[in-house]
Amino acid sequence: MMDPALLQVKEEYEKYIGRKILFIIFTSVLIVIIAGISATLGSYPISVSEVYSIILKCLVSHPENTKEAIVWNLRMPRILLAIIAGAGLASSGAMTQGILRNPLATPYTLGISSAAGLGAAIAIILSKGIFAGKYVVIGNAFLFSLIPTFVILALARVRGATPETMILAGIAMMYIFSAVTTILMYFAEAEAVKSAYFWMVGDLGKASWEINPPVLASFLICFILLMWKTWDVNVMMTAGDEVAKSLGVNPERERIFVMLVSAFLTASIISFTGTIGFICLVAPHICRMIIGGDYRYLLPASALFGGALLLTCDTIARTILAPVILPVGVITNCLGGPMFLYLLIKRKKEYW
Amino acid sequence: MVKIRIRGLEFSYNSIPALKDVTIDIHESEIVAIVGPNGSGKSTLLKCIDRILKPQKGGILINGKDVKDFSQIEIARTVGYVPQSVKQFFPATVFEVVLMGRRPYLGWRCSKRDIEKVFEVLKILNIENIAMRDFNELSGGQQQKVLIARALVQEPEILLLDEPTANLDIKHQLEVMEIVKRIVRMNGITAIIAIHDLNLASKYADRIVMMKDGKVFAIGTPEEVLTSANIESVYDVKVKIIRFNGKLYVIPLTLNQSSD
Amino acid sequence: MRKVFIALILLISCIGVVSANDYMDLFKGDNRITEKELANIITDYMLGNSTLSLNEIRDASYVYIHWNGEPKSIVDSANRTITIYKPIKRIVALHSDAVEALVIVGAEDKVVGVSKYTKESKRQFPELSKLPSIGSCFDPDIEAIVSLNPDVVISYVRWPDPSKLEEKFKLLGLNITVIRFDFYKGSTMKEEIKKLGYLLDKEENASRYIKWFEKYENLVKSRIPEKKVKVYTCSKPLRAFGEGSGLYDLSVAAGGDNVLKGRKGYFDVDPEQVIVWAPDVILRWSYAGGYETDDISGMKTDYEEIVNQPGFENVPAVKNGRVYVISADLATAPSFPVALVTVAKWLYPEVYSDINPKEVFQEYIDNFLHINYNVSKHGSFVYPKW
Repeated sequence: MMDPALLQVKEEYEKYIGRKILFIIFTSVLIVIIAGISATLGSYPISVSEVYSIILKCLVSHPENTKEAIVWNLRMPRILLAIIAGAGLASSGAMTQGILRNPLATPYTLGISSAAGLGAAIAIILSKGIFAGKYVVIGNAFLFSLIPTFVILALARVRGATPETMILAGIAMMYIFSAVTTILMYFAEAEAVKSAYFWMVGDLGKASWEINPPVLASFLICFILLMWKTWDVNVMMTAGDEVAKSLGVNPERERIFVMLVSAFLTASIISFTGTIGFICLVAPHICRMIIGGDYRYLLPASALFGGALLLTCDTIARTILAPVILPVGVITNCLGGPMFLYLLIKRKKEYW
Repeated sequence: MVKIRIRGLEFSYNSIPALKDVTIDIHESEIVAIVGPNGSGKSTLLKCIDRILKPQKGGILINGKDVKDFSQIEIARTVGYVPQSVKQFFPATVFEVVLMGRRPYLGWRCSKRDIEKVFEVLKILNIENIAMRDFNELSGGQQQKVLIARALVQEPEILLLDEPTANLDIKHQLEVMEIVKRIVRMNGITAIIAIHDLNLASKYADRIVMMKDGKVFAIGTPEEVLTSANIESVYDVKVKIIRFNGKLYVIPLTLNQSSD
Repeated sequence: MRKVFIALILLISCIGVVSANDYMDLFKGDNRITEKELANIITDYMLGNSTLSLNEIRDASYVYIHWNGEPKSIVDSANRTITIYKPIKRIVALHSDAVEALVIVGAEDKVVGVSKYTKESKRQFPELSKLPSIGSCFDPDIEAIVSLNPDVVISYVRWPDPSKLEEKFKLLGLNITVIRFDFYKGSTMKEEIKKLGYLLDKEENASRYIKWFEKYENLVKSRIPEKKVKVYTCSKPLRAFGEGSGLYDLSVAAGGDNVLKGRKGYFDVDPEQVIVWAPDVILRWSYAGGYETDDISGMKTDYEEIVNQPGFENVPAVKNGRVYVISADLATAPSFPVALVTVAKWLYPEVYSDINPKEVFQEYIDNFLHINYNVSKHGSFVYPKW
């Protein structure tokens, strides 16, 4: 039994797993550090030590003055929403890439964002005034974003849930929904059009203790469900549909399940934030390059990395030109893009 | 003892029939080679046995139980499938690929036992030294062994191999077939191999099923099946059968002139 | 049970009348500050047992004397009732049009924060552009606003989204009043200025402006001829500005017969359609000009784009040289009447031979913006140049 070659391989394997776990721990710590820095940054003058004592105090009691409210009701919810949204978008992106076996696939490829955009645009255009429509916009964006998923589901019943069918159907719907939105814009008032465009750009400005809990709950539930399916996605990624079946995985059923969960997760995030692009594409890829494609580690790593990335981007977006707040999507693209390219050039072996 | 009982099996792809009234009995611990020209239904038959495809008619009994009544996990624990060709593969280490074979046994976590099992099988196939290599970087022969390893960690009673020697050089062909023979004998499992090479079939199979146009044309020991008459009518090729070291060898001569 | 409840409420309100713990308590029950309440808080303060600050007592006195003890209420352009209980001292103006309006009513001394756009308007607002910035009017930096400690924030009716403004103040527990006034539409301008003047106790200045506004409004209205010229309004040659857009309204108010009648919003049109419409005048919108640049080339480029648009050579407006470009700085701002006479004169030059729009503009700048700015020398507001 004491085969030296085998022992060496086992050691190598443990190191390999250890590296993945280390990356996950590293990103967790990174999030805490960035959150700690982010909380101290803002236009309102509050010293670093004050910020931390306020956070400690508000963990047990309510904020009592403006300074405390700024830290606790303004900065903290935004930081948390950035982490949750980043983690959620990255998780659903990672899983969608896996089930569709396509490096370019994201929940947006399935038409979710353009459908949400249409839902929001309809609500914004039809609602009377900006005060009537707050929850109508969120609700409508959410409901609409689930439409493409159900269309794909119906199509899969007829044509089979193959990645090709799903991607092509998703892209077709993306064009349809964008077209309908464009048509709608032509008949809407100019101001409503502008508001709808602002919605679509996407930002974390709506964060609050009121909005965060439902988003967090949706993230946690979906994340657990996705975690539960990581083995099956691993099988589908490495073995293909036929072999997956022989390994006891029903690829079509799992594909649809994961799509539904990812779509729900994405929808529940973007209906509050608008379309924040790129995180769901780039975060999983960066993690895949660093720790490989095993979803048991890739999914939590992507979630954590996505959270860290969006938090970093949002912190930069709201501070770099302060008091001018840049759209966070601009920063994700500026930061994520070059990072992605760098890793693409530096990577030693094929990762996808 | 009959391990797999196939009765009146019919299967068609979008109404193009691929299997017609296939009836075969396969015994425990035997190696059965399925031979026949391209499109004769060899792969389809394997996929039906593993319930990857669902036949329109007829039935397959494994251990006396209809495969339709097996749960997905049960069938995965009973039958291991080694696919024909490795298409686009997503980067994964050999270890990860083989570990997938433990899927029918896994809860969410993979236990120490699962990992031990993978190492054990890698050792048996003598590929433990490439465990951490990327699957895509391996040679065809190594890849084939990894895929066999994946099927073996399923701890199956039945092993289905679809063209395991295709695209391999002669050394690797023999190596792969020796491995199959060794594990069949060692673990008492049943192997069904779809194979083009009649000489390998003759060398390693206990029995041969010869198929033509989705039907069983002949079934029996290599001596019974590999006759020049059979081969001529199935493949449209004139051959000479010679015996060497107790095994039959097929030497192709010419294309049948009567063929179109 | 109910009686006890009512008695309790009465008791509580009585206590409020007797000694106010909070400025807002003064308005409890009767919604006004009475002489007695004022006297009470002043004596309490002198005795050293007041919970009100001296500033609050000063505010209360001001309200008692100038507002007859009552709070001031208006309905803003987002259709909300805005009530203020104290004189407004610190204002953050989220957009430049509001800054301009505040200058007009003479309340520039109350402005404490402006947007990044106002910061760039160094010529138009030489003093106010030095104030701290709160970022963009579409996504303002709440922390920057709060650190300026304003009583009132003035924002566009439609932007930013309430979740980024009113709701944030609510989350912070801050009593900052958000008033939504556009100050860029001709149709609501007078009403908004009037309300602004009322809230800031600057009714006189407001009505002076409104009078000036109405003078030109009525002048143009009275001179609209029977036979109207056909106008096409656009932002790019083929990007039409239909009903509901500021430029469309301007063209109609100036007496034009807009060919886009019945079509809402912004949309692209077929060049052939423009030829069929055969407008006598083409009006184009431009963001190129304004107070801050003397360089007319941007507007000239916009002008040439129309004139050189393939097919447009057959449009009467182009054939007869009646294509005009107007700056958004001029037309979508309280300077609206200037834009009105400018466009009216473009449409009917013979009817307005006695009016020089440039002089009307100079009059506006001298009388309402109070800056040393000569329109003949500076800025680029129209093309061809006036």
